[in-house]
Amino acid sequence: MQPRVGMPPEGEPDPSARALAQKLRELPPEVPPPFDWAELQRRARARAPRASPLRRVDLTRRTVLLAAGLASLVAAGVLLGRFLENGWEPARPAADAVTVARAPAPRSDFAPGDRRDAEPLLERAETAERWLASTPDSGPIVRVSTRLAVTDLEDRIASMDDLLNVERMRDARAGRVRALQLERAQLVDSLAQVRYAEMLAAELP
Amino acid sequence: MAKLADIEVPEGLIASARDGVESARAALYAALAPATFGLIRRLVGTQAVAEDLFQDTMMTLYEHLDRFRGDGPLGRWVRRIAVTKCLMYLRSPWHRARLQLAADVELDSPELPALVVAARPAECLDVERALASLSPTARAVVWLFEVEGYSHEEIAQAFGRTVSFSKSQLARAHRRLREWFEPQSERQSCSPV
Repeated sequence: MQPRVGMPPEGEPDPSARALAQKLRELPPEVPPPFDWAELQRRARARAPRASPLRRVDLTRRTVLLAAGLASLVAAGVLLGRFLENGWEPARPAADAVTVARAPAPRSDFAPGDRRDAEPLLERAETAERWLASTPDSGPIVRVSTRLAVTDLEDRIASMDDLLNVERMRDARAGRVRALQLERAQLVDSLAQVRYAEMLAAELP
Repeated sequence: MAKLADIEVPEGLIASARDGVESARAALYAALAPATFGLIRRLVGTQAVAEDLFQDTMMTLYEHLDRFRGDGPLGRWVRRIAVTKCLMYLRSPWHRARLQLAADVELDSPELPALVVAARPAECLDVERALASLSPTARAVVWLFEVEGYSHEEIAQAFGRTVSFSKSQLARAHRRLREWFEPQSERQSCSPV
């Protein structure tokens, strides 16, 4: 693949695009790396699994926790399926529960009970999203299977975001948007559980 | 200074590195690290993120060196690893949201890290700043298209999007860069003298 000479998106010659491309290509391709070879080795050793009996116990714990995380993911999926198919029983409010004034809800295809029950899920997902945003970028996840599960969930959430944008731009029915929001919230919740299980496993001695 | 995709390493050195010879592995690092970090730094923009992705890319290089079949320069193979990691990062909704927040903060005065600023002529810094002013996606698209020579089809495939996504991102990036450079069109080239 050789660099082109500033072709604009339409494919017509464009002197200003050519000049821009030239400026970009004139930037030095090399930037001094942030650390040297010795430091990379040190980091690689810190990340590599240690072959010791203690490590085997550690891996067993990790596996259990990972399995727990994935199991809750599956459970969340089943619950979501059940919710989307049938809806679930609204929780009975306590007799002395504090009544919270709410803004008028948008028109929805969901029954009032569904809407009331969805609020905790959306709130929990919002909290989970803040927590996920505060976790380290690369995180402690080193297992390929978990990495794939996390990537898959993240991709599905990204797709859900795209769908929500499209639906909002099309001025879609509030019920459709609501259903997508709930599905997204469930995915966020699942992702938080998997990430949390992995972080716990990584912190075990 | 060679572009990453053009960096070739003698077969003997690669074989020794595969066998775990320390000096050969260090020599590979010396040959590939600066251009790898340069590419990642331009694709993701943020210094801290670039460092993480660089570390990940270099570790992957050594872990999977036995999969390199030698059907092209080693640098091109490493470039594929680096680009894949950067795009995986950019596609993640969490990272995307965080990058957007960072971009909103930085747009008023795009600061460049000392690492990039060091020993660069002023006109190069203009180009770096212009690049830093783009959204993460637009920056990655314009860099892959204009500098790395990717086609719109390849960019679309890498991002998991359509060809029109790539074209529109490129058009947006060109527009923004043009706005940046219009008042400074009389500046000189930043080629090394």
